[in-house]
Amino acid sequence: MRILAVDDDPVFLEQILAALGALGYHDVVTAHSAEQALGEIARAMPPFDCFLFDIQMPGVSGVELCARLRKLELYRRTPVVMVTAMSGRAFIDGAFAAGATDYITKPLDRFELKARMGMAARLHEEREQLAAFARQNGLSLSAAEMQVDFDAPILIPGVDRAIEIMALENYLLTLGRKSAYSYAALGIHVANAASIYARADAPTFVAMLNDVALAICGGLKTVQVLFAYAGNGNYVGLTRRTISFDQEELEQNINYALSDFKDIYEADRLPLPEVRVGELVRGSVFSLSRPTKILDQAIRAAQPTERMMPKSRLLVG
Amino acid sequence: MSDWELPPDASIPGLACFRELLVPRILAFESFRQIIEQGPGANAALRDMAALSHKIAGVAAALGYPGTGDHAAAVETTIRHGLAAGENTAEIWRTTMPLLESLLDDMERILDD
Repeated sequence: MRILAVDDDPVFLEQILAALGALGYHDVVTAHSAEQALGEIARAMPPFDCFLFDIQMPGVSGVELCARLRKLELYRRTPVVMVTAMSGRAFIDGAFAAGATDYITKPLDRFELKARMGMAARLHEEREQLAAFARQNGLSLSAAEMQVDFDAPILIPGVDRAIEIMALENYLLTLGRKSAYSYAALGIHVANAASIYARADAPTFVAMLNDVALAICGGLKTVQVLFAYAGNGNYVGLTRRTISFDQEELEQNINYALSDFKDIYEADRLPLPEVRVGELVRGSVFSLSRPTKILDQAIRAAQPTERMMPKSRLLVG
Repeated sequence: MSDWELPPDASIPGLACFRELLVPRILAFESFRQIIEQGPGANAALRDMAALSHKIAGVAAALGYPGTGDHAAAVETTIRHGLAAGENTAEIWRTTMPLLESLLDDMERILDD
């Protein structure tokens, strides 16, 4: 796995080089600034498979570097692990929103680094398998990514605040139980996603997911939220525990926004996506379960069977 | 460096570089201190001081100096919290100065090893 590590502190770069080497990662390039990193990225042949970005750097920060990296098609889904001191956790929200996959804290803990790099290596392997699939089938990588299974969580392309489900889980896990308590999860379900999946080709299905994600963004524009598509027509968002919003109103707003696309769906002979919003799920500070459980609970809360009252269904076609 | 900390193994990755940077970093801290005490540019100097402390806080423990890392983190967080809370420079500096003294003492002790 080819890694680019970026930090303005030469001491830390020496440490991370040694630590990665001890874990068996020897193909590591280092850069002392975001500007130097962008040069390395532009010249990289073969491309990098994983990035480690320090968050707090003078000039272009690690968060901005991550955002710029994500604009490059080649690196849209490459694992990016942010590195920050415990005192820099305030920057983490921005890092995930910019497309980070995970983060580790300084000082380096070799067990934590091993776990995080193991996750990045698994993502890299998945990416390699996808590239092999694309080659075998004469597809571009982005076209291969479009060969989505219905239950597959995917990164919704080009939608602000939409991140990968694994990044959302990592975010919660690394917050720790106490900090995770201050968050709440919101499930949003496309009730007729299976029907659309059965009738649409893969790019059209992904375009539908994109439409829904944009409608969710619009509906939650005043709320600080990160969200992800979890597969099976389910989106899940993470927001502050203290947030209050009208669940019914949000659902209506999202469905109303989607109704703007009615003609397009009709032309494709597809039903208009029909969205259900679940109740906000807040974790318990006394809970001993894993912090990510609220994501599963939020997804369940948005399923039709969990609803107390039947919703009016949008007429399609 | 706290009293109980023993000098670490010289072969630890990054340690030689850390030691090389001690003198320029101590001088940098002294330069920031002068600017802060003179007044003009004090806020920028506080930010620079926090950024330099941040670097030390991020590596010192892994090099065998956890106490130094803690002192550096204390300097950084005190400055950042003070600036974020809108405290005036003199107030931030009053609370930061003793923490900086501890950090500089640590750095000088490491130099003496």
